[in-house]
Amino acid sequence: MTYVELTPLDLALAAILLLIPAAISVALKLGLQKSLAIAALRTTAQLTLLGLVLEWVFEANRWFYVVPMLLVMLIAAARAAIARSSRRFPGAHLAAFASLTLATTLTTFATTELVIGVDPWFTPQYVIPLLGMLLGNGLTGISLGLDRMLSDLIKERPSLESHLALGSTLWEASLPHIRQGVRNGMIPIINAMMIVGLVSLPGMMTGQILAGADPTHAVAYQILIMFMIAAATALGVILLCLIAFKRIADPMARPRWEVISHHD
Amino acid sequence: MTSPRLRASNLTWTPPERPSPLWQDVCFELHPGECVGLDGESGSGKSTLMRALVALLGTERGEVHCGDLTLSPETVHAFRRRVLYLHQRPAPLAKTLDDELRLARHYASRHIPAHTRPLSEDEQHTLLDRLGLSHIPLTRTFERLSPGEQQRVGLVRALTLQPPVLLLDEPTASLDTRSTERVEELLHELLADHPTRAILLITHQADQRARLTSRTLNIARWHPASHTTPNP
Repeated sequence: MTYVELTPLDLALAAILLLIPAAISVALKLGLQKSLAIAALRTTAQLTLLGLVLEWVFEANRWFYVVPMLLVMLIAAARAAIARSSRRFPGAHLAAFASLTLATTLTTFATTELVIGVDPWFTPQYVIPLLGMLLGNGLTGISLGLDRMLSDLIKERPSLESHLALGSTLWEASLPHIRQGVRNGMIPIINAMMIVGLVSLPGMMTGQILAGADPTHAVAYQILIMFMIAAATALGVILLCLIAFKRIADPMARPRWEVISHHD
Repeated sequence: MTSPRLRASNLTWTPPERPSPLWQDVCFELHPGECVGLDGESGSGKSTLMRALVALLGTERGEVHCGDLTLSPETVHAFRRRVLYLHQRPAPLAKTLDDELRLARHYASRHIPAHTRPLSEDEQHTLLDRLGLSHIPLTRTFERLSPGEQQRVGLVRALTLQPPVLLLDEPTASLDTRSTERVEELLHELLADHPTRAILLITHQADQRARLTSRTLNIARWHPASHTTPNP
């Protein structure tokens, strides 16, 4: 298998493609030219930097290079997850970090150790991209789950309080909303699993094929990845919703409504 | 035996965006057999006070007792089972009317207070009938009921638990004259048949207050001095 290495000149040529959205933006007065230019620069800068860091980490091949890198990824993902949720609670960032860390590292290392059989355990070529894939999808899942659960609790406050007034426990009264949150967080990955290969060609698989991998091998990895994402997302969203419930529960069997904040 | 059914002492609450309490050092007692009115202008804090009595609202200080039971994290479920707060606009517990009644029986089966017996399914239907709701199919969803029907279903739900103390927030606000009479009749009977019970009632209808209550608490007396307008 061969693959064509892209030179900076090739990429500069590809940047001409960006003239199309830029022209549309100008023609229709969308006012997106500036954002587009910044986005293009950021894409280039961020990915170039990532490439350098990865090369460095791969070369070093030491756990104390890999683990901090994973930590940075986890922190960034937790921040992004909470930023995307319109409803939050005190300690949401830490809770998102804890849920994502537990869910994705468990899934990643279970897979690298038991399924792929990576040696040593921190082999960056496997651990970093796998964790990255799980985080990218997991953070969407947990933010959708949290957002839905908290919005539902607020929307259904009168009904919730009707249950409480009749002597229901806060857990019983909240459970339908926790369920709805978890369900909402898991729907995207289930939908993705339904249509993968029919409508969408997954990015990772495309990348592998472009890089010269045998399509059947790329497919095998993609299947593995989808299963891992499903597992990590489910774990992460359940954890975050349960932590959120714990955090907003008042000992007097009522939600502490005042701690649920709204952000647009 | 004149030990109070419900006793509130020193309840104080400040709304989130206000510098001073809306009501403070609220102290009162409900005695067995009493129906007491809770009076005050709109926004004076009657509903919030009622909600605070069952800890749906957190107060800064104060205690609530029902007989030997003190409202606390350990007792809150049993307490709400004994002191039942009924919202002015009851919200759905479940989808259909049948589910509503079933859930009410489910909650009624727990922490049953001494000397009370929850309503059976048949008794619930008798009550629906008395309140003029027997025409509603049990498969009807709560949302499709009229506000007046919802309010009466809320009352049936609450009475399923046969609570010793009822906190009623404008229980006839959405009802026509005939239905209002039926509810008032029912409340009269409730106290006459079980003289150990007590009711706290918010109502804006002076005639209703006269018909049902034996005395009235005006919430203005618990407003901080700076917020009360002197009464001539």
